[in-house]
Amino acid sequence: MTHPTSKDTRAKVGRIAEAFETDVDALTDEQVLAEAREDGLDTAKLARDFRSNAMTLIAEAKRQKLALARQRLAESQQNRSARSAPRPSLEKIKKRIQEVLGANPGLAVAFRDGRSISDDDWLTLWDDFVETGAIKDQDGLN
Amino acid sequence: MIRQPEHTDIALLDDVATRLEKAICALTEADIVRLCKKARFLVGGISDNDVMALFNEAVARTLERTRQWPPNLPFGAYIFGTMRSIAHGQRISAHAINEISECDLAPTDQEGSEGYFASLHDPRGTDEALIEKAELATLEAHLDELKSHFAGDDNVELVLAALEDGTTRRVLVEEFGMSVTEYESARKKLRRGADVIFRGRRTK
Repeated sequence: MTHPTSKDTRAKVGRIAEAFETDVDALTDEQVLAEAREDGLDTAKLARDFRSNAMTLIAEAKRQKLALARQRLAESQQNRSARSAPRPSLEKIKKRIQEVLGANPGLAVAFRDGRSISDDDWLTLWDDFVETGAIKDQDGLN
Repeated sequence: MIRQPEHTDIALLDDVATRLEKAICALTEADIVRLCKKARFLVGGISDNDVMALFNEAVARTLERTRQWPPNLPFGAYIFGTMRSIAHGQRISAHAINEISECDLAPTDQEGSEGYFASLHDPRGTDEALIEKAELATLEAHLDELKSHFAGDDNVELVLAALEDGTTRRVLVEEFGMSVTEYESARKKLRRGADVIFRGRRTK
């Protein structure tokens, strides 16, 4: 055997720790618990504390996850209402949509008779057209 | 408080949290005690409360996804590996926070001043070399304590020296005349001694 120097201390301690870990892994559950009790450890309390602390962390992460989901939903709703906030007048909306549909017959395929749709439908259609880029954001504002 | 990265995918977090929850619920009393016993040797001696803090840190980092738990890796193996890695990082940062001055790190007899000054010209830079040096000094102190605890117990001293060097049981039996029973008994005595010596210690 060689005489150790401080240069390989880390390796030496690592080898000792590894040997101890191997030995602990080789013990049966009963032996592990018996040794711990020999050392005066309240193993039941230790296990309880471990589990409850970790579960508190997980519950906290889940709460944060829920808060994050709520925040994202609120942001998304806020963005949507912010996008639709500066709408032009209903008359301008109708005129602009009809212009767009006239210029793009493909868009009119699913469009019903303009006289039968409600004002809310016009506004929703406006928002959808703005969102898809069929109508530019500022169209009809001036 | 879990540090939540902004880009966290909610579905992924849910998946990890659920996996962790199941794994922790499935841990038996013996599993937890075993984890404590093994972790005690990670940094040369920490109390069970510190092991718990280390365990919680490993859980927190898994939840944050700064540590990835591979799908096929058993929880026990994963969490212990993560704790080991965190303990190593904490040991280094603890030394860094303590602002070790060069004067605090006098050269040891074994190395001589030449080695000491050479370390200050380490290509990694003086700070890192000093941190490394302080960490080694701590490990050396733990090792010395273990040796002095068993001073005079020939078999344990021999087994300790063998473990340090990576000398196998076969060599001790064949070349040093130890019986297998004597070896196993000395090794258990050493581990149980380390259990007691290191228990409740806090390594800076």
